[in-house]
Amino acid sequence: MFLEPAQLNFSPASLPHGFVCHQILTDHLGRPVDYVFYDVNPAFEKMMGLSRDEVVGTRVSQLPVGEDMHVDWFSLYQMALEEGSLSFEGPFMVGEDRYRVTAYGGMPGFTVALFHELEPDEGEDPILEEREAVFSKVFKHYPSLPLPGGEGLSMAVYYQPARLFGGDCFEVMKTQRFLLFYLGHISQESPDCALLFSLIKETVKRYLDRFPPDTLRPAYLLQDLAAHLSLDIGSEYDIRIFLGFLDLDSRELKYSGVGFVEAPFLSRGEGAQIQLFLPHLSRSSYSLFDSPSFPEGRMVLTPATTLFCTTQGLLEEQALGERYGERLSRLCCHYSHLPPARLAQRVIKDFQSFHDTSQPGREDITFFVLQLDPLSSASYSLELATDFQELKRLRQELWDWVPDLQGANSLIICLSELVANAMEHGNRMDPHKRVTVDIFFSQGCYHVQVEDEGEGFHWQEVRDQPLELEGETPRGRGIAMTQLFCDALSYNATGNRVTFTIETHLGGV
Amino acid sequence: MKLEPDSGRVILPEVVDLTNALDFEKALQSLYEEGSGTVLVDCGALAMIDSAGLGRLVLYQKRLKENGRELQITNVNNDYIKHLFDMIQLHRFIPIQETT
Repeated sequence: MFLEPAQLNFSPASLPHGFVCHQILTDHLGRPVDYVFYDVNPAFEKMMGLSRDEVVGTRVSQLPVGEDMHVDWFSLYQMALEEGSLSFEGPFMVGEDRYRVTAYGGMPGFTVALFHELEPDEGEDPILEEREAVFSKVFKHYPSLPLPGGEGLSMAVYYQPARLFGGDCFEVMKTQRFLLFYLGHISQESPDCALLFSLIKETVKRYLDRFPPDTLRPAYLLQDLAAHLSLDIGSEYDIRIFLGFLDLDSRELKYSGVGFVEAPFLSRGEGAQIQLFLPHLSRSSYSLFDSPSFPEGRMVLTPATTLFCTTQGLLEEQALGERYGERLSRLCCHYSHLPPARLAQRVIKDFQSFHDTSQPGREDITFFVLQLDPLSSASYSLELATDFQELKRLRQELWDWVPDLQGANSLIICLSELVANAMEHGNRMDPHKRVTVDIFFSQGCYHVQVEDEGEGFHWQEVRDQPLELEGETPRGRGIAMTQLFCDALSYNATGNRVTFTIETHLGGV
Repeated sequence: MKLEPDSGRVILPEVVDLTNALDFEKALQSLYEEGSGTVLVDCGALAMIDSAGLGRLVLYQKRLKENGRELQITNVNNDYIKHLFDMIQLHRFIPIQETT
């Protein structure tokens, strides 16, 4: 038998369970500020001990109910924002009675919830477990996944909120040619975090909408964030945050932050590790609302650079007298050549072994890895005056340029020797003459040429001499030493141009 | 380049190359002429040394040995410097103390 829809006697009023429909109140920027009871059914009236007239049209915040009630609605709204339609279940207390709440956020601007009364012997733990799983799901949707892509860079994020309510927030977004990312930590894990994170996200987006990308400054954004949040929610929250703008064209990273246990660090390929420094960034005594200022740092990220940012969850874990933070920087440096996703996996695996468990712990753990692709090919030219002081400039510029640090030391030692020879034996220290260095990097191999303006020399006599450490003279070992660190060293017939190669994958230092 | 005559020690800067090799030579000459016993070359800060710097090391080792003395390298921290010394087998001519 089929019934016409009109014959169906199905309305919230007939439900045996408490029913409530909330209208979401937002401020002029569309942010949730409160909820109005739009409709309730008789079961809900009975449950609350309030009549429909007393309830409908009233704000949630005006009802004499426990704080838990607000928690669920705000979380629900967040879920609705993130996924359009979601439901969750959680315990809700009215006096001594316990209810299971099932809520839906499918309609724009409204939420609906059903209250199913629990028997006294119905266990609480399964509900808590469910609730925890749902909140975990909500928090996992904070970062905008998938991460925005960018040519020549890759990223990975690990985001594990703490039990029930995470204290970490995180976001990566792209606006024109800039990549914006931030990691935040709120010291108390409370239901308010859900709203707070939403406010941070919206405030950042509004800032990006207001200003042209070229004028974006992380320090100004943090000032803006502190000002707006203190107006919206008061300034009692302890918020730590690191924020970076990466110019995807120039690769310049501008960053600012406050109150991190340890500043983010970056590895330039093998070995070189730099910790981003700012006066208030790693001062744990400051937070967003009480920092006297927001200093800003800038750094151009070279190819193959890996940036690692983490909130304090990883850093503060301790085992056998060691802080994981100390181990983390060594680990990231060692594995900085791995793609971000693999590096993130490696960190979690290591953290589990540090923790001596198969689980990464129940605390907030959030970290972000950004890596610039190594260059497949690059070229570099430099003209030097005939002056040994120019060797310093040469080395400094090379360190800033080298696309693959694996062979950087070999490159620098060889060039130091051969450029010095070109100045001394080629140009005979004539200050009017120049030395030209040309480097082409391709597929892991440096092809280098050094040319002077001199008349050349009898290179055949010295090119293949082995390095002799014994001897009366302190000089004359440059070419022999160079031969140890490069391949295919050869001169032109005149002897004023030398070429050599360094293959980085063969283990150049 | 810091000279500690009392302990027969010269502390190298971050870079020793053609631009400061003569300063290094003067420091070694001073310890050679005025000191006695072992000359210590502290490489704690050293990150780059070229053939001109290495040439001074081996030259003064030879001179000191001729006088029954010795030059020793100490406090090598930098991986690149360790690798360089290893490549040229410097330990065959100059004792290299383990990092303390």
